[in-house]
Amino acid sequence: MISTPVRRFTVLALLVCVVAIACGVRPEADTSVAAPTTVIGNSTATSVPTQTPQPTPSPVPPPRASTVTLADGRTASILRNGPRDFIPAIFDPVHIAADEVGDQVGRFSPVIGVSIDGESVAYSVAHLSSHEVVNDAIGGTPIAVTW
Amino acid sequence: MCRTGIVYARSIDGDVLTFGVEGSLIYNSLVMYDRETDSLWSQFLGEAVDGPRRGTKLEFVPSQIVTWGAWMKEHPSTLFLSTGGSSRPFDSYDEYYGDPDMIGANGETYVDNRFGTKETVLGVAIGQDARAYSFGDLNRSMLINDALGGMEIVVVYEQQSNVAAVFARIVAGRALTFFQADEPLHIIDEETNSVCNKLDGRAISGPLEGEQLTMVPSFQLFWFAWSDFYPDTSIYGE
Repeated sequence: MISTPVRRFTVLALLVCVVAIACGVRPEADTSVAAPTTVIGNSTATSVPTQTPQPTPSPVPPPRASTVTLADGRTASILRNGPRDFIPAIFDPVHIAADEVGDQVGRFSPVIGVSIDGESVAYSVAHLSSHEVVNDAIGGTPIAVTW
Repeated sequence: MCRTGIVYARSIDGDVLTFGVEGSLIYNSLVMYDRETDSLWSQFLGEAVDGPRRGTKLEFVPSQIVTWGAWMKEHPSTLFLSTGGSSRPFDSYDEYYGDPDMIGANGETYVDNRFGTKETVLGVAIGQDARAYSFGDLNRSMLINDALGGMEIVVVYEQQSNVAAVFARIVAGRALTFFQADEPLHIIDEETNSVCNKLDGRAISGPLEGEQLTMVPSFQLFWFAWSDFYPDTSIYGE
């Protein structure tokens, strides 16, 4: 039987770990997003990380706004649903010719197509689903394709 | 979560920004951060909502969501963003898209039964005015001459290639009224009888050949996502 103070400490330690996960397991993680207790309640202890935190924490970023004011004056919440970069954006896009595409996309599958200054690039929607952002350049214009 | 694709320029006031996925959502839409200033950007609003760039707008870049076949036909020399060689026949969100009870990660904020929650609509916002178009209507008429936020617009659709786009129907200060051509991807204006392409609004024959209609940002997205951002949205035909 574990004594109550020890059990309390264990629960507290688990909560700290879970909050750390919710905030991105970064020492510089936002403090503002740790507030919603629902995030903590939905997490489980089995996802406690085994790796140690980074040894050299970067400077603490400024506090994050938790709401945004829309054009009509309403306020919308900015809700965290995972750590930063848990969906990996593409930073080093590789373009291939249409005849090299093979089975990477189906003929009737949706793509986002962009043409700038005579150069055209297509992005498979199924591929974009796993990355959400592609940092690219077309016709010399840097663009972000977002999904 | 909203099933929304949009392209923005990354050059802002002479700086080129690099965007990553923040891991936060506004309603159910993507929030990005930029590596250079650590500002937060809303994909849907097209502007920074926090950080040093707060209030800065992203410049919209016209794009189309079409089938790969239709895109290749229109752009034979197109390039393609390599998936790294992996064949991806299925979208990892397919199950989510097909389940009417799964509503984003954060649920629906404003319940609005004018459409089904997960029905896909075409949403357009100009100034303070927002309007949703049902794909049923668009599929029947294939184009809609309309006005929104003080702007004359034409909404075009073609089911087989999945083209859905909105253009300002004004060329050289003159408002044009379009009708459907025999070719499903083409529209013709009553005033000059010129033919325009639905994909990019380019006039491909007739007196206006070489001109191009200006594309207006539009979103193909789930109704709940549109009505959360624009609870006062009108619906075309109502």
